[in-house]
Amino acid sequence: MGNDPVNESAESLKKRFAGVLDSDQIETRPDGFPQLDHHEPALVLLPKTDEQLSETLRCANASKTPIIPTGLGTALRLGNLPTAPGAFLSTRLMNKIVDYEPRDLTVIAQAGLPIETLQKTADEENQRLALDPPNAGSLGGLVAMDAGGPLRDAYGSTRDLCLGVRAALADGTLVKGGGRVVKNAAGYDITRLLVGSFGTLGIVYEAAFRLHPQPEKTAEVSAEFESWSGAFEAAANLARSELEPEWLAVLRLDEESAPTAAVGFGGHSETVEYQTKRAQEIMSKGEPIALETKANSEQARLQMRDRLNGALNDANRMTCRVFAPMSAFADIVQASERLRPSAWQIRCLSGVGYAVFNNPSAETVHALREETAAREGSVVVESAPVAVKREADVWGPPTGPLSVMRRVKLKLDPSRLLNRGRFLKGLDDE
Amino acid sequence: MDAERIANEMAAILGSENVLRDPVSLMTYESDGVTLYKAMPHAVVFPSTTDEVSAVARLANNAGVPFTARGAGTGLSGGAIAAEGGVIIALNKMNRILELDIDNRCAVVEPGVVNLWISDAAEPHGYHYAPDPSSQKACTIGGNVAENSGGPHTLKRGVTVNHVTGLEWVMPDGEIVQFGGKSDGCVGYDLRGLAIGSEGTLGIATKIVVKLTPNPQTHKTLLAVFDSMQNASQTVSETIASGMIPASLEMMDRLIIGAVEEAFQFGFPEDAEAALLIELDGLEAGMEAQAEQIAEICRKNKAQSVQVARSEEERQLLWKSRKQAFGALGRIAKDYLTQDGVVPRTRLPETVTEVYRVSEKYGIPIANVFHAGDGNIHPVLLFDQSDPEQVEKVLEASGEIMRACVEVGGVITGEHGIGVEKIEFMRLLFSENDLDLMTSLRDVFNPNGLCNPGKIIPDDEPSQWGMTL
Repeated sequence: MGNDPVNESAESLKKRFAGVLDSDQIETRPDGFPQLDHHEPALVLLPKTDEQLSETLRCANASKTPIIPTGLGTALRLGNLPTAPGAFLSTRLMNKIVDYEPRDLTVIAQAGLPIETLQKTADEENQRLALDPPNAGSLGGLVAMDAGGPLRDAYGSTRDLCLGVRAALADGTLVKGGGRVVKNAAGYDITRLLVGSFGTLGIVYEAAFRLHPQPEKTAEVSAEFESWSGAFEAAANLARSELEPEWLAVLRLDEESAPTAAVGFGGHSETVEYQTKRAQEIMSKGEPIALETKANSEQARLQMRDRLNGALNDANRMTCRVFAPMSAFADIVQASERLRPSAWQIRCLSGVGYAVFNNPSAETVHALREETAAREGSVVVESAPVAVKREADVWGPPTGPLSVMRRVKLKLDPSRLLNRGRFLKGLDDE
Repeated sequence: MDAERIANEMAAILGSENVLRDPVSLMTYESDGVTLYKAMPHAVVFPSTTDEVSAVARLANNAGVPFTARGAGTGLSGGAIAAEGGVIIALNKMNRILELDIDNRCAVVEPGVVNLWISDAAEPHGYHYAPDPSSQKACTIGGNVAENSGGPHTLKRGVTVNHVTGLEWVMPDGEIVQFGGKSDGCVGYDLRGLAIGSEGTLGIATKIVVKLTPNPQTHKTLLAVFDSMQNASQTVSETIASGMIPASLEMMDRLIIGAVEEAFQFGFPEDAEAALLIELDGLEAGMEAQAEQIAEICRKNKAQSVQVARSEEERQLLWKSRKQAFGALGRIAKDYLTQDGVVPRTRLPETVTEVYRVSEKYGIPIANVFHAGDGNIHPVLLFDQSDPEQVEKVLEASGEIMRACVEVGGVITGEHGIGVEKIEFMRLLFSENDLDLMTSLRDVFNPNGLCNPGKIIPDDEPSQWGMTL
């Protein structure tokens, strides 16, 4: 096995990287990582500096050792089954805040920094990174997945808040894109290309983000309806109103819950109070079966995040992310009723929805994809049992030409070492 | 020659009335918004459809003739000028708004649509297109996509890339592809994000899906005048730190104020060093309180005066000083070059001081008008273009200002692009590795290098135009 880098033993891999990393930077048993399907890489490589990251990749490249980039390992269930396990490369030990200037509302930090740590630091200055994804653990994870949560409705996803990146390409070359300023038109937007590239073009080890002030006040209004159409109509009426919510959702948290429209506000206290009242009025018109208002609350938003996180980490369930034009969701939800999703969460102002299935099959994926594609949307399977992944491509057709994406991939990672097989179907084909 | 043959073939496709070849007509296309950089195209062609754009691109690409897409020609970095012997593909005839999809808050438009037309069309439905470059009455959306344009309202709303979700795109070899669509979601690499701001070097947008933004219920506009730039800058920082995100935060310095005052007699104090135009937008509820909070921050920082617009007429009057700034400068100088740099907001005061030092050093008056909230400065260098010595000084002074921006952690353009003007200065911002990466990406899209050559990425040969390192 020693000559086969794809399936070689931990011992032989360890020997290879011993010249680059100290022994405590090579873990033989992935610590706390969820099972990565049936191909389990034997090692976790843990560089501490950009030079070490570069050397590690250079070494992997020279020996054609496939690499699965990761941060804290919290979202490893995303992606197709790896066709070549090789070794994990984690940025976990690159976890410092490099520069935080609160008066500029920008922060630069290393990729392995837990998002929670960054949020705590920002909170001390009454600021926040306005991203609330369900399952990314580290900043690098945010970047790799272009993560976002309900707040995406008002602030965009990682793509919109990441100002610049530093990354190591597959051959170890260190590059940067963007910068630390909020407006930048210098050169190609390397940052946007790398955000959401799932670690397949390079490993981001440092990123700059735009921060936002913490809202002075928050409030949430939610209403339960007898039918989906009631919830969608309430959300559409809110979207058409003068209100400026931080998030607007249509959801059903589980099989026992009723279809719900929910909205969150944040900002100046007078503005939030007015919006809360107006949201109650608008929701009431749709004759909800229950209406609830919570001042100074982020409970509904955090509950959506936690529920989704629970589903994503459940090895038996499947969670699909649906992108579609906003007005298409009512139809998509109705059309997919026969697939018996156990939960839906739809971010109404950004055209992103999540469907959870308790007894998933590849058929479910294909059927949901068909319904969504008919309405100009796409479906990505965010997590699913291995049996489903064996039969269904988790990404589906990309939203741009695969031929161009393949050429980009081959230019930047000609040996296809990074996350081989885990991203778009056909991306790694010779 | 090849270009001649190609022009004939293009005329066969587009009709001879859509191919300009006579030297007098071509002169209009010799430069864009910066008249310092001039190159005569061999021909200018006017396609009307995506297929026609594809056909002319394919023809040129196969024949080895360089080609450059162009909209209104209002760009400020020389990005739309032709390469030697090249053809300009003018997109002005593709100027239809194809669809207003209010339910999905988006519009599908052709590249030659003027920026402001979209807002005009969406207005009856209560929406607008948010990025608003100063040239929005003339500039086209295709050009905005190429340059990733901004404007005064980007502080709150973002730039072009935050407002374009889909592109129909003609690759340099003529292939027609789609990046994204009406949904903001992206599966695979964000080629749309890469294409936006690529300054016409990766292909040509032929359809653009733009987001529509709901019109705010109300505006509140304040004009504060200060006797020091430091105090005005401190006001900017404190306003942002307070948690409010104004729709715009525009700063004008004494030279601009003087020119505006001379032209329009707004009544600015004679010793005014800086004026800050602050606009809040959003809901009426809480607006008064927030405006008062900002006025208080201004007064705390020793504003000489704080005016709050009480009506739409008063609001337009306050904005007039900002919007007419360039016109006013035209009265005091023969020519001017508008620079574009970005610095972290907290480094604004020292950067402006540096701009004044450069102005003194070269004897070139420099007026400053800028998007203070974004840290995006626009030093305006006043000179006489017919004097080669002054031209040289202006470019050298611009270079020094760009260096100052980079030294404090900033960049050399926020919204005007690199074009030909700043191509050598890319080396100041990016390493050889970074530039190699950009070259690799260009090669993926544009392997023959014929699609708008000589822009963005510096070559081994130094550029004949612009600032030299």
